[in-house]
Amino acid sequence: MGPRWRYLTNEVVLGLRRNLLMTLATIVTVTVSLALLGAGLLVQRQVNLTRDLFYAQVEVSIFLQDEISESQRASLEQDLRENPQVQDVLYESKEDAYTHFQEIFKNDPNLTASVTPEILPASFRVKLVDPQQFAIVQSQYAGYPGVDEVSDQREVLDKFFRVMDAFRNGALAVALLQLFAAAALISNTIRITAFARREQTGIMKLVGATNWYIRLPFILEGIVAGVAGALCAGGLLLLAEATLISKLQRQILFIPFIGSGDVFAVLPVLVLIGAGIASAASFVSLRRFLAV
Amino acid sequence: MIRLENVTKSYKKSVVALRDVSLEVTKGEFVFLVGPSGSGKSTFIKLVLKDEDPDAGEIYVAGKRLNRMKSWRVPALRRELGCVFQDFKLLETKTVFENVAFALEVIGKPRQTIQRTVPEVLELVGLGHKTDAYPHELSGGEQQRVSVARAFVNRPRILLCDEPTGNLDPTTSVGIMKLLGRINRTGTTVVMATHDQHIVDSMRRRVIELQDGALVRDQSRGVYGYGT
Repeated sequence: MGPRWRYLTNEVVLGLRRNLLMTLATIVTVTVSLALLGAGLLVQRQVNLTRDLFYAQVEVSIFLQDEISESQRASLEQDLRENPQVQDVLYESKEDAYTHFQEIFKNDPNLTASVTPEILPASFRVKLVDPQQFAIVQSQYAGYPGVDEVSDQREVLDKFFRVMDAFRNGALAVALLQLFAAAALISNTIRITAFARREQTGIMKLVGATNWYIRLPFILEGIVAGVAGALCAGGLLLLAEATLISKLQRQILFIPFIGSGDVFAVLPVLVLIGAGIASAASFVSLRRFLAV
Repeated sequence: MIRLENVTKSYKKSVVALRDVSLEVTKGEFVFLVGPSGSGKSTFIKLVLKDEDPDAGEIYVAGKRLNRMKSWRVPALRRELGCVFQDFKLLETKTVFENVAFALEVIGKPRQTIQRTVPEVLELVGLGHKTDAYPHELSGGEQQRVSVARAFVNRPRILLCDEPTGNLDPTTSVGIMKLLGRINRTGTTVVMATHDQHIVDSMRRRVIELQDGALVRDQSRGVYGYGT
């Protein structure tokens, strides 16, 4: 190891040790903020993973009025089958609807007993080529004679995804606040270190050390804390994945869940952000406290 | 080697530290900068180091124009300059050897160079036997010798001394002056700010006197004050 590297490692280790408590506080803050940020990113990944799958399975239901005539129903079905937007059409009679209903709510005998085939509407279950085109299909058939209502499950899904988005945004907002706190802590640590080393720094400037040579140990110190925090956050997320998600996975079989691979995919982002925030905070506070 | 052209420097717009000073110090000279406290001696040294910028006038040091010098070029300038201060500015946690070596380490000199030149310069200042001592184990004179060694180890073209004997007793001061004289004879330009009358009078070198920031005397082979 040349004198340059020995100097750097010595200074960084010394600086981190001198402010052990501050360093720990910094690492914890960075950990919390990046864990939240990572959670937000993972929720985003989960949403992306399920959104397409769910929307692809969305069906349009065209509910029919009870007084629809046989010929109206036949021409509607004919029309649907000839529509290029439509992939598949299934007629669900009142009896079919009743059977479905009994099946879905079989755990609730009060409900199933109160319903007769008469009060349930007959409907066409339409699968679209492109589920995004729902609005067009709706406008086409809403005014059709004998059609009561055109609806799809999108609204329910939208509600679900809005909740997920809100969770993600909340996590990101808190993460941002925490990152700000982390930057403030790093800046404060730098100030203490700069003060402790002011004589040494003064001599270095005097004998003509370059500005970057003087800055580097400070900035590396910040980066070490930032990266340590990022790695801790990654550890927390892996732990959460192993306990929480795996449990959900075993209970809810029909939804794909993110796995540890996704955690490893967001980890580099966390490390980069941790290191970036740390070096930026160090750089700014060095200009203030060291004038280099 | 050092040239000032009509340099003015004031602090906070009210205190004028240097007032329209022009002077030139040529290569190999030994120059005393004298004057009472607050006459602008330290400001002169800070300007030459580019620790401060003048309000007006031009400064040239070691062939470089200091006005509008980019900040990343300042380290290169400082490597041409050695600095000795009244308070030594040694690092208490480092030994004599490490203090001197530090000046070379931080400008990226290879280890072989450091291992070779540091003992040489410590021998030159007469501390070859105390390389492993810590500053607090040394007398004031010895500490100042370490400081001189650190300033000189990179063979600067100019040695700037700000009251180097200010904290030392007369006998010790004589030793430091002899050392500075020896360094001057190697071809290094030495500028020494002082108000030590005896030293100035005994050395009989060029004397530049400042009063309230103005240059009032520039005399080769001078003494501290008129009629004294």
